[in-house]
Formats: sequence, C-alpha cells, structure tokens
Amino acid sequence: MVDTAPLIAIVDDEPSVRVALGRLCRSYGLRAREYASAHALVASLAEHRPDCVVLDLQLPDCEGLDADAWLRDRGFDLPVVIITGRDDVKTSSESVVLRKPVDAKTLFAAIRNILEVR
Amino acid sequence: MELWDNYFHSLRNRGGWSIVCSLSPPNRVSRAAWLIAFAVGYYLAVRLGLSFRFQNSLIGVVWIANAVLLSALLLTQPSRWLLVYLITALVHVAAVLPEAPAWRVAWQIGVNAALTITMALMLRRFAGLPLTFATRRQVLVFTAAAFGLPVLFALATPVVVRAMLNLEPDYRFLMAWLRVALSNATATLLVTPVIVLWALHGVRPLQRVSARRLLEAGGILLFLLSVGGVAFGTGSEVARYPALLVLIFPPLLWAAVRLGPLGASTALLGIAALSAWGTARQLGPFVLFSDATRVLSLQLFWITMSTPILLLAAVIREREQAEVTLLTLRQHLAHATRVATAGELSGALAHELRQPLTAILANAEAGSTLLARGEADPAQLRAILDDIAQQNRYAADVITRLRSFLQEREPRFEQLVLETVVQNALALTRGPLDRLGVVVNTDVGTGLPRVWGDSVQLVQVVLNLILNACESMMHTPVAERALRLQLARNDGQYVELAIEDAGDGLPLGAEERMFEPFFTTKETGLGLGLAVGRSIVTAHGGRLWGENNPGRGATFRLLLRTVS
Repeated sequence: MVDTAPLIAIVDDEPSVRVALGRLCRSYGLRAREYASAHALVASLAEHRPDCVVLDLQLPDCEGLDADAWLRDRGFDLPVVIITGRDDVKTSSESVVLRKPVDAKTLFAAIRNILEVR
Repeated sequence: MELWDNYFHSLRNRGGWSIVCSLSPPNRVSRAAWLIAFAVGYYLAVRLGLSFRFQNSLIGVVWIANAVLLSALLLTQPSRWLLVYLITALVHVAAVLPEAPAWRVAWQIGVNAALTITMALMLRRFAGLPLTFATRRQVLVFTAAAFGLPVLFALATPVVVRAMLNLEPDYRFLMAWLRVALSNATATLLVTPVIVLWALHGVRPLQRVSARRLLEAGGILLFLLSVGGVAFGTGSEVARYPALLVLIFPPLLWAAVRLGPLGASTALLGIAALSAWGTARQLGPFVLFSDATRVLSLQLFWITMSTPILLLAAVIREREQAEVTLLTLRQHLAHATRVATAGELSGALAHELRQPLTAILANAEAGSTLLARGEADPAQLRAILDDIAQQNRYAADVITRLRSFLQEREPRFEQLVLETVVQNALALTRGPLDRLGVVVNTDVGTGLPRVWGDSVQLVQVVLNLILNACESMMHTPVAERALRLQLARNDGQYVELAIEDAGDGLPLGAEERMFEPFFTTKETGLGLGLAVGRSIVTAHGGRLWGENNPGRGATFRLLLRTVS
C-alpha cells in the first residue's frame, strides 16, 4: 500500500460494517481509517485528514444528511458519501447518498467521482 | 399456587367433555351393529316398561321405549327413519303381542310413531342438532317438546280413547290421559338426554379425561348413591321425613356444575332409577302415599328435578364456552396487534437486516479483490470468512426473532427468565432505539427467580412499552434520551420490571385511561398497545401500570408472578 493513496474515513457505529468497508477500501489499494462516531472523526481530523468521508446516515451524534454542513461548521470542508439502510431518505443534501448494502462498484464510482472533481 | 397453564389446560379438558363426534356411522359393519343395538335396546325398553307397572295397570310408570325411539331418530338422518320405524314395529310386536290384541298393538305403534316423529322434527327445527343440551335454548325446547307433545298425543292412545268411551274398566278418562302423558314425558326427559349424549360423546374420550376429573366423577357417583340410598332405600321409619329428599340435591348440583350436561343427565337418571327401585320395594318417602298418588308423585318429582338441573348444566356450559371464546379472541387480538407493531417496525427491521448484508457484501468483495490481486494471505482471508459467517448468523437471528414474534399459537406458559424476554424485546426495537440515539441502560438484580409466562406475549408487552418510550422521547434533546430497564425482586412473589424513559411523561390524570382501548396520544397507532398489554399481563396474574417520574419522563412497571 502506498502512503500517497487517497485516505477514506469510514464512520459507522456498527463495528462489523465499518471493519468490512475498511477492508474493502484497502483491498482496492486505498487507505482507510474507521471511526465509530462523527465526533471521533473530528477529533482525529487534525492528524489524519481524509480525502473522502464515507458516513452512515444514522449516527447518534450527527444528523447524517447534513454531515457536510456539520463538518463545515467545525471548520472542515470534506466531501461526504452517505450510506444508509433506511428507505425514507430524501436526497436534498449535496452529498452522494448510497443505499445499504452497497457494492464495491457503486461505492468506488462515487468516491472516484468526488476525488476527480477535487 | 394455581398455575396459569393449568387453568388453560383445565378449560381445554372441560372442552373434552363436550360433544365432538360424527353422527353417521362410518361403515357398514358399525351401521349393522348400531341397528342391532337399537333393536335390542328398544326390546328391553318395552319389556322394562311393561314390567314396571304398579297395581297391574295397563299403563307403565315410565314408557322408556318411546324415549329410545326418539333418541334413535335424533341420532340418524331422516333418510334412515323408515328403517328405524320398521325395526321398531317388528320389535314392538315381538315384545308385546302375547299380552295384547293385535289391533291394539298396531294402534299403539301408530301413535308412538306419530309422537316420536313430531318430537324429532320439532327438535330438529327449533333446538338444532346435534342435541348437546349445552345451551339454554336446547334444554328449554327439549323440555317443552318432551312435556307438551306427550300430553297432546296421549289423547290418541287406545287406553285414553277407550276410557273416554267408557270401554276401559280400570280407568276414567282424565286419569288415563294423565298417566299416559306423564309416563311418556318423564321417560323422554330422563332417558333421551342420557342416550343421545352418551352416543355423541362415546366411551373412548373418557380415556383422555384427566385422572383428577375421573376421581371427581367417581366421588359424585359415590355421593349420589349414598344419599340416594338413604333417601329412597331406607324403611318407612326414616322415610317419614320427606325433607330427606333434599339430600339428593348437593350431588346433583355438583354433577351439573362440574360434569356438564352428560354428567347431569346421567346423575338424574341414576336418582330416578334409585327412587323407582326404592318405591317399588316399599321403601323411601313415596310409599307413604296411596298407590295411585305414589306413581304420580314419583313422576312429578322426576319432572320438577330434571329441567332445572339440565338448565343449570347448560348455563354453566354456556359460560365455559364464552370463556373459551373470550380467550381465543384475546389471542387473536394480541396477534393482530403484534402484526400491526411489526408493520410499524418494518422500516427499522429492514435497516437491521441491511447492516449484516452490507458487512457480508463488503467482506466478500474485499476477499475476492485480494485474491484477484494475489495479495491475499490465509490469516486475512480466514478473518474475512469468519466475519461473513458471523454476520450471516446475525441476520438469521433477526429473521428468527421476527418470525417467532409474529407467529400465532396457543399461549404456552412456561418458566421464563425475564431478562431474556427484555433482551429479545430490545433486539427487536434496536432500530428505533438506534435511530433516536437512545442510551439503553439495563440493570438486572442478582438471583432473580424465574417467572411464569408466555414468552411471545411478554416480549410483545415489553416491546410495546419500549416503543412508547421511544415515541415519547422524540422531543427530548438527543443527549438526554435514555431508557433504563430495571429488573428486581418484588416481595418474593413477583419480579418487577421498571421501564423508565426521559420523554414527555404521561398526560396528567390519564394514568389509568391510557389502558383503555383506542386511547392514544400518538398520531399513528391504534391505541390498543397498552390495553392489550394490560390484558396479557392480567391473564398472567400480574400487574401493569404507569406513573410520571419526579423529573422528566415516565416509568411503567410490570409485575409478574415468580415460579414458587
């Protein structure tokens, strides 16, 4: 794995999901760090600034749909891919919203789009 | 302690005494056996009727033969009635002919046929078949038919017609009419229910009756025989006290209340037989009267006894049936509300299944990518596969839990660890709890005894309370959303589950009204959750109530009986 590979932050309160998504990113040659909450992510942002955040919509400490705004409020302008297990999500957010279970092709297409735009 | 599952079982056992039997004989052999049994029974009934006459009169005290014939009509389809009548005529002739002239026998057979067919048609039309004597309507219609029709048809019998024409040396018209009518009426009242009920019930179901119940029936029989023996079988020095007759009522009432129509009618026939036997042997209270009034008072005694006792048995049976119906309805309602709850939870459950599916998919794709790139090391692959298996099991558990929650089955009372019930309810409500970010705190006391209960129904109650708590915390700031479930012993006999939320609290003054059906403060929902919950808990012999906390929110408390 190369240190210059893009770093993906995975935020999901379900350990099995974040571990599996982390594995998936690394198997594709990306770097990945996993966080159990949005606060945990913010706490480590100074040290590890990700190129993209993959974030579960349903987090106890931040309303996922407004995660990009939530991060901006805290001084971090980061692209966010939202993944959700819910059916009733209206995609009013600027962020990309993907439905769980998400397959690798869809996930990495979204991430690549974001990284290319940047 | 009265166990609640015993209660359910006993209800079902009582059902075992009721009639569950097909009316049509299943095959040719049993049909032939049935006809032979009828012929023999009818013959014996005629002989018994003929021999059971006081003062050598023409008219018997009880003419059982017509009661046997009526029973046969009630137990067969009208298409077979012709056959039944053919047998009756032949047997009647064979049994009576030496003692009576042919014209008289033919006349009597004709009147008997008219009487019984009218009774059978009236009962079919107004009481309904099968005649189980399990409703007041059936008993009343039967009594009316058994009493009214013999009075009417007696007017056509040879002895009455001839007495009317002054051709009978021994009888005046009125006496002949009364005697014929009463001998048929008493026989029908006493004998027909016993034959019909035993034929419908059969002897085989007795093997399924619990030993306790058979013992009780034996006790009643012994009681009946002993008081009957004292009342009717002792000499005139005891018989001088007619109040002794009252003695027979306790066992009769006992039989009616506990053994249903079958036991009540059998006991009545037993008492009637004892009183007839005693009177015939110059024993018991009826011997104090003259011959003619002796017969009459015996008959009146039987008539006044049988209807109230049969009615009592029917009323008790009706109440038991109503109880069983209520129980079944309650079960259906509980199930229906579970299905409704599951409908409300469906989004959350889909979410809960998507989590393991997400993990499984990501793991599988990671593994296959690593293999394709030739970067897979065995330890890493094993970790991935282990995770896949574990997530798979987790998803299967979600489905199993939901399936068992949704199943509709008879309540199954067993010893339960209440903590397991709480964990199952929490697992099913994980979706809404996570979504609201509720911090769940479970506090289980040590050494808690098990409780009696039906696991599915209790999960339903707890789950409903958790969902209500979630709903009431919608307006609570996220950081303060907390649910505390506390399990503790309550004075030895009960285990208490307290579910404390930090929500809006209960509407003031509505702490009891909340448990009424259709009371709701929510925008969605039927308003049945708490009502059904309380009815479930009450059926468990427990209690469920709610109160506001001193600070924020409310606490619901659930008391359940421990296994002693």
